[in-house]
Amino acid sequence: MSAVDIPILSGAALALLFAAFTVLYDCHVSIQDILKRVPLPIYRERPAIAVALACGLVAAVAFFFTNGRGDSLVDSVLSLKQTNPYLRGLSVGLMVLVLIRSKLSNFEGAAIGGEWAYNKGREWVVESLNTKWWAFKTAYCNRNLPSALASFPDPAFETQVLAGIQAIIQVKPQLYQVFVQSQITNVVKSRPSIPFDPASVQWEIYYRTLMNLALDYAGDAVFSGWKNFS
Amino acid sequence: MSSFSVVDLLQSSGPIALNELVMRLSEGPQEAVAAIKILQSEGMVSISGPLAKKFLPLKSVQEPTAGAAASEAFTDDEIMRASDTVIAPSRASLGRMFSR
Repeated sequence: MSAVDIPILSGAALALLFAAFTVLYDCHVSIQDILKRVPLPIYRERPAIAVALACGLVAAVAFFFTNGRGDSLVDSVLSLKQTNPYLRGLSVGLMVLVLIRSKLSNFEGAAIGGEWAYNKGREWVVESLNTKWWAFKTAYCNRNLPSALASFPDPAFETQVLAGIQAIIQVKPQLYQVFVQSQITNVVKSRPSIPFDPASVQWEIYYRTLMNLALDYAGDAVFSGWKNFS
Repeated sequence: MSSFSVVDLLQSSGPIALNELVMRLSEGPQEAVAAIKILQSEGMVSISGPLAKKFLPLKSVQEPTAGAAASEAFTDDEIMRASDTVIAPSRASLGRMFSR
């Protein structure tokens, strides 16, 4: 390999890496908008890694169409007129998402091309997160529900869990707090009217719902340090 | 009515058991199930589990309005015990969120 190629290949590698990083960050932010709190580390999700690498490859290929002189649309948009291949790689990596998601990828408001593919990728990531999150919550509840039911009445599970959720969401935006508080209010209204009985299906459903509500909006931090919880 | 929609809740929580979903909403069980049926007919949610078939419109009934097609009735008790019937946001609903 000639010495001349090394900066160019390094630039392409930088473009790939920075594009992948930018995509992971963008996925995290946009998914957080939907899920309110992203329940699992997104950078460990295979679909997220695949989407990030795909966009990274687009950046690496796009890099070879740039020279920093701004004599093409791709070059002007992505390279920011950087002739230094390392800086150009950085620039292309950070800017490629703009190209993928630009109005060039829209037709009469409908996403086509890059934007369409990018949205499909994000749907795939959310589906994967949802599937894993469901499995996690189910396993967590099955593991800890007996301890929660056994904890009644001292200390009362529901008092502690509701206090835990409130403490964690109070630093969140107002809309988030209202959204979660509405659900808490609705769930508490469904509190069984029969005396507490750990063998009762109604109480089990109520405790499970509280536990899942806590996991969904405050995470398992609500239960950290709880006796007999794992 | 809830200050938030069923779709908002599903998109934020991911898949959720039918009885838990109903408990988190301010509507009663029948109203919540009616809302879920409409969402299912619009392709916004997917339903799995033992009660999934009861959400499907009855084949013999021809109902022109989307989501209002008659389906089997649920009892409140049946809904509140439906821990193994899971309601999840569909890809179409996620796609709609991303394309906003």
